[in-house]
Amino acid sequence: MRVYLHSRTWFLYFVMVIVILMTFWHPVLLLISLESGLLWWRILKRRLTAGHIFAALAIIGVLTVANPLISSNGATILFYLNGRAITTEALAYGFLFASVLVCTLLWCVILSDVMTTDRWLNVCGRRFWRTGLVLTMVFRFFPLFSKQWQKIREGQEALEGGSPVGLKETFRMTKRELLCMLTWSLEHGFVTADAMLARGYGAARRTFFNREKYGAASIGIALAIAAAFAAVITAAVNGGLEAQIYPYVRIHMDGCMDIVGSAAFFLLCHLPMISHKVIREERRMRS
Amino acid sequence: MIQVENMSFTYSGAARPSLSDISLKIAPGEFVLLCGPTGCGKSTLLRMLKPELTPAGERTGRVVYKDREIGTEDRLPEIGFVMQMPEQQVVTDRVWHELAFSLENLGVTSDVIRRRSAEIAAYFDLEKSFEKDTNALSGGEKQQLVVASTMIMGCKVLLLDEPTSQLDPIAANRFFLWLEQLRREFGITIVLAEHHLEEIYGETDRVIYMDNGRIQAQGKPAQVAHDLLVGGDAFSAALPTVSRLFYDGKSGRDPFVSLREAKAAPDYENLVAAAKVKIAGRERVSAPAEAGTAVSLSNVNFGYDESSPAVLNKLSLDIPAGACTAIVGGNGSGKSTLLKVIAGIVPDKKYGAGKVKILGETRAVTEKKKKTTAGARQKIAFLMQDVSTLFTEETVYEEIVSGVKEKVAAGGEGFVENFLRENGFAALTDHFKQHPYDLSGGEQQMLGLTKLLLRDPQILLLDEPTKGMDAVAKEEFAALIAKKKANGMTIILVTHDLDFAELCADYAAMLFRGEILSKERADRFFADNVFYTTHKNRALNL
Amino acid sequence: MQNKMRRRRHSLIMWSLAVVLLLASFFDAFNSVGLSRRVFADTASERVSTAEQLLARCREALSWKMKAAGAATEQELLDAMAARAGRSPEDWYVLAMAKMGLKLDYSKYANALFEVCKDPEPTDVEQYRRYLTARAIGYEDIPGTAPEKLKDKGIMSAIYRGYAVAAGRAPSSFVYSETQNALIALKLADGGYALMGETSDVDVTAFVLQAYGALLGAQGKNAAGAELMAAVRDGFAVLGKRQSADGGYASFGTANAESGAMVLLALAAFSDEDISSDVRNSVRARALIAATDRFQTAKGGFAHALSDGVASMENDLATAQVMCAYAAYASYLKGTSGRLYPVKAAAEPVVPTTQRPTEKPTGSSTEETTQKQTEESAEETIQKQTEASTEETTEETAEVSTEETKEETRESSSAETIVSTEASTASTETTENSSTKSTTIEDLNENTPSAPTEGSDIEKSEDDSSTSASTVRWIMTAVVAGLILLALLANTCSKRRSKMTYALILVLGAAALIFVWVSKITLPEQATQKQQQTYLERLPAQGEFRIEICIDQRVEGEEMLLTPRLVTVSEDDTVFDILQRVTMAYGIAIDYTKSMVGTVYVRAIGGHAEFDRGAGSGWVFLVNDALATTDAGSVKLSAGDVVRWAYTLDLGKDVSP
Repeated sequence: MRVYLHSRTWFLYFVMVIVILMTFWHPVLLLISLESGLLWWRILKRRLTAGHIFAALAIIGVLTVANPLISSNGATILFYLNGRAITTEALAYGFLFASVLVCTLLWCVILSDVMTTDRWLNVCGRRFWRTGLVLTMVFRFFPLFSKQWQKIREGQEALEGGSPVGLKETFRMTKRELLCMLTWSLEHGFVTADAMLARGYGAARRTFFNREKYGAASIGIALAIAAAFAAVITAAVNGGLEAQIYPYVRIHMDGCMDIVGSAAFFLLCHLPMISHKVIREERRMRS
Repeated sequence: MIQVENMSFTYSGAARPSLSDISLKIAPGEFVLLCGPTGCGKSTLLRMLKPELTPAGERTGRVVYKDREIGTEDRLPEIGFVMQMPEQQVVTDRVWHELAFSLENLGVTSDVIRRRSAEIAAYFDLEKSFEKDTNALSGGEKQQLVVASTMIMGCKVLLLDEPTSQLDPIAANRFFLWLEQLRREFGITIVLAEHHLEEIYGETDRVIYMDNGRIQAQGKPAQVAHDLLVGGDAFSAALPTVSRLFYDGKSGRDPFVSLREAKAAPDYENLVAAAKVKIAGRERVSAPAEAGTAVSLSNVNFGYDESSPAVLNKLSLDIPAGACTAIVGGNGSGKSTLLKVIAGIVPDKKYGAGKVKILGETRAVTEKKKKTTAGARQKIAFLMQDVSTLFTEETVYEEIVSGVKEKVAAGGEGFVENFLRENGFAALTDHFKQHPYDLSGGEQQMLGLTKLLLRDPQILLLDEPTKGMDAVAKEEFAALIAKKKANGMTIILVTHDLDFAELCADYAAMLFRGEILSKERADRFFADNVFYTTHKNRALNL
Repeated sequence: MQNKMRRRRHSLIMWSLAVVLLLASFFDAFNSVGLSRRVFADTASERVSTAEQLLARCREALSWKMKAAGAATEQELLDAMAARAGRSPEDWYVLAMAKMGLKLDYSKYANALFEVCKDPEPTDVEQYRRYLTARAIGYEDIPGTAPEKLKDKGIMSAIYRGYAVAAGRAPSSFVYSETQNALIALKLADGGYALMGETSDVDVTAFVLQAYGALLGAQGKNAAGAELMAAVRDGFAVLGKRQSADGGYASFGTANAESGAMVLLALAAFSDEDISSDVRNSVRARALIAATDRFQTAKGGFAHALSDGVASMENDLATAQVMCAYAAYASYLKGTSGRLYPVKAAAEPVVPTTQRPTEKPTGSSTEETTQKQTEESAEETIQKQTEASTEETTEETAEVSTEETKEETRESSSAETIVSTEASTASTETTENSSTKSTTIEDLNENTPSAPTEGSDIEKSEDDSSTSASTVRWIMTAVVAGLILLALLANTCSKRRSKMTYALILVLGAAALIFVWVSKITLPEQATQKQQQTYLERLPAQGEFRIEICIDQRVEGEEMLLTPRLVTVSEDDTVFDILQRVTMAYGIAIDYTKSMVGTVYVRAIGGHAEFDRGAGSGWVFLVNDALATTDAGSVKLSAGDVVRWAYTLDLGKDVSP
């Protein structure tokens, strides 16, 4: 099936965005990534429920409040708690850290949604076919093992006469299930190995069934992503996008380099969305 | 096409040879059936023909394929091999990838792969499921996928080692039809090793009957059937019902191999009448008097996901004590769920309403059964489909005694051996020091049953116990059930195997879309059904 | 269909752009509100740099004077001028030097002044002037002179009286009102003041405004009354109108340095809380400074007037007055008091050295007695300080900035400590005194409060004394309750909710609430902290001694976190204890860990954390310039040790000599 945007472009896109997010803890970058992340959320037909918002706020709140309790770094003291100084900068750091965490989580969820198993395989491609094959088998066998574990648990419960009561019992049962699972998977691994041999594995040099072509769009967008990333890095190297928390909160937002960096990141985040074919394809995949 | 010349094979470390002096010739386009009791060497012979899968051991004689001798180092993708377990054979996570996997192995270019997989998908009607996740396929579909991905390599010979043993009869049927289609349209050579002979026996070109590593009989299906029936071989129980039912040694006629053949015979009605007489004459243990209800469910609703429909829908069922009740139904009717509900093994995520009453104790349907104190007599024993899920110890002996150590100690010396012998599991005593996984399928089942029976249950739940069993083993199992019944145990049997159900059940109930439709005496049940019934009844219905 | 998609896509991009820009601008506004101290330190640093420039000019002028007088050091100059103490305009130099914060020994000058004051028939103005000069250099009231006596009725005496009253012992408000009403009565029709006649004179008006500033500082805005505020406003209005185009001022037609200096002194006499910016901005201060700069000659001194547009001839009075003005205005810029003469006297007058019966310290008995005396006086000073501070807090509640009060107490306490140690007649201690005094002045310079950025109108809410510990506790409770609610809501909305999670949230929330209500909350600006500072700087009692401590974060262009100062410690205090006490007293946050064995490791001080500037960066401390090898919790000190906490960039190699 023809795919519009090559998997490696997608992969590059996500890696760039997440790397920038995690390296530069800058509020403007976070806002940009949040906004484009929510756009993606809509494109991928996911709903932003109240539960998500509550969870995000809860995480941010807890981490913001927790950081001053463990770190007294900072120049502005608000008050002393049991002899430890609670500083505004520590609060700001906690808040920034939590925001980065939430944004990264958001983007990781988007990544896992967009990068289907097919796409992961294509990222490995022909060059890394061994990794690709291992990945495929993991995707295949993981659900199988889960189901098998469930069956084992049922079998053990049936044998023992019920589900375990108490922590010690549960621990013992889990240990037995684990051993059983290991043995079972080892045994049946032979069958899989035989099946692979029967289907000619090792007969000749393996090729890779490539279902994606590097279209002009894929290459173009990949180059644009790389350029935008380079622009952000250059802007940062030249003094922009600095978010200093300690000793004083000093967040640069007006400088020329900041604006350049922010604009480059904005472009980077929205690049795949520019092409409506990409959006259409993603939405169709999730109808 | 394939020639085996004086082949003998011994597994490394084994005492006796698995194959002794096998010679046979398989012509191109032939459909050969290998049959025989468990351990006769069918699988070993098949593996001899596929060099990649040949096991390690001493080998004498040779295998010739297309006038060329096959050595163990050869690679022959032309010969396809399909094994028992569909789950383990599917390697990748997508259907298209599974198809492409074989060709990738052979070093075929992308374009060719695309074309080939497209055309085979079109032929096998896999277009709709081309992008599907392999985890979502059913067992039968998986097995078909394995065959398709084997065929995509351009096989001339297809070797199948009990491919339907893990499938239910309906899926097995479909699989065989498919095989036939393949053979008809492409003329590939098929060598099939099977236990399940009802449907396929009549369609084969040649039957090879093996026992103890030797070929005992070879020839056309009818002829081999005749030889077996005449010889009074125990294996004749595996022959199709039609063959056995309408055979009398007197008329020089070969036994029928299919119902069509039988119905085409001019004296069909007479044969039917004679058969009925024969059956009526057989002593049939009548069901015991009403001994009360062991398990009773009334208006039970049960489901897993809130959004999906209920699996059990207003189900009401009374299971009489001291008798064997068979619950039959198609795929997805909810049989396994019903057993789990009775046993009290429910997952965390479930919903339902209603009560289960077991031997006087009432329990809510959604309630998860907690473990009672050790030593208390367990009321219910549940033998699941996959017996190997029970095994957690290193040796068979440890497996047997795990969990019941006090009982064994109290029973004194030789308690275990006596117990095994009483129940007809004496074969296990030879294997005490082996790992449970080293046992054969039937022995594993014996081991599982032993573990359950040692806990002295009052109710025994069996979920598809006869998967992969040959006819002899089935009969032995039926005998065991009868014995336990006599001791007062209630047995609930869930199975697809209607013949077996008829053999050992007193009562039968039909489960359809979560509801129990009918429950009555087993013989009457099967006699009343027209389609979903035993082969015998089908044969005897005019 | 294509068009619709394109439109939708365009609107999507527009929307996202708009949102991001909006949020960025909001963030910018948020940033400028300045929740963190010293954010956009540029504006504050601007003021500081201007102050530095002014002080540099003062130093240049002083070096000219030194050369002119033939003195090698400032101390020599001071002692030379002592001969003419109280009788020449060179008093202004002394005032300037005191305001600049030079560490000098004023004892000779003070004694000379005291001798002069024995003059039987001084004029009011002379008397007040000497008294005020003595106060300015830290010496107390001369006994026998009561500032309340008012003989002359002229404006100058009224002005000086105003100053003196403000500087004197806390008189009753009646005296204040009498004094300021006397001055207000002398206001002319145009709002200004003059020695005679109806046209207001710049110098006199400025001088009166200075007195108003002192009175305002002594009483507070509320007590001073609306009339005084109106007079101040009018006065500044006049000065504003009279300002020349180039920013300077002219007196009787001639542009001169002294008039400008007086106006600058008038501006410096008010803090930002006393008068609003529109009153202050009647006079263009920057232009004034620029104009006054033009009077500086090449040698560094200041000329009285320009000849042919160039300053060529230095004038003592001009130089001295400009020095005073610059030093005072520099202090104002840095946020400390810009008044030449201090306001508010200490609680009890103490006679200078020559009046006390001098006993040569022979043997231990005298030492004991002197020690006892120091003990007693130390105790007294503490008591008096608390009295003084409580008095101040009651009377200065109108003032939002507590820096003023800090500075006042420090000034008075330093005066106390100076004088009390004077009683023991140890010359070393006097040097100590001056160093403490000068350090206190430098403290004021360095401990810059958050000078509000231009245009922002936030109150420094965290410094507000009305935030009490219980308010903080309630805020924390509200925060914890909000978090519990959020967590519960999040759990309710999630798919896999189990009773366990609810229970867990409630248990953790309850634990957090208990923690909030059980823990001890101290606010940094509480009176206890002020006491801490003053307590640290008190005289040592038995078993205690003084050491010098400083915290140097070694950042280019930034002042030390804690400039070197003397603190009183006891024998069993470890370096870490001292650090903790000192940082808590001066509002610096430290982040430290105490290991299980008891060793302490200081991770961050004042926001400068380890590894912030490289892999080998962090905090080390040196005792007497020797890099410490053990942890701060195990080093004890002895008298006179110098402890320096420095931020090293390579594991200590760059800070140890």
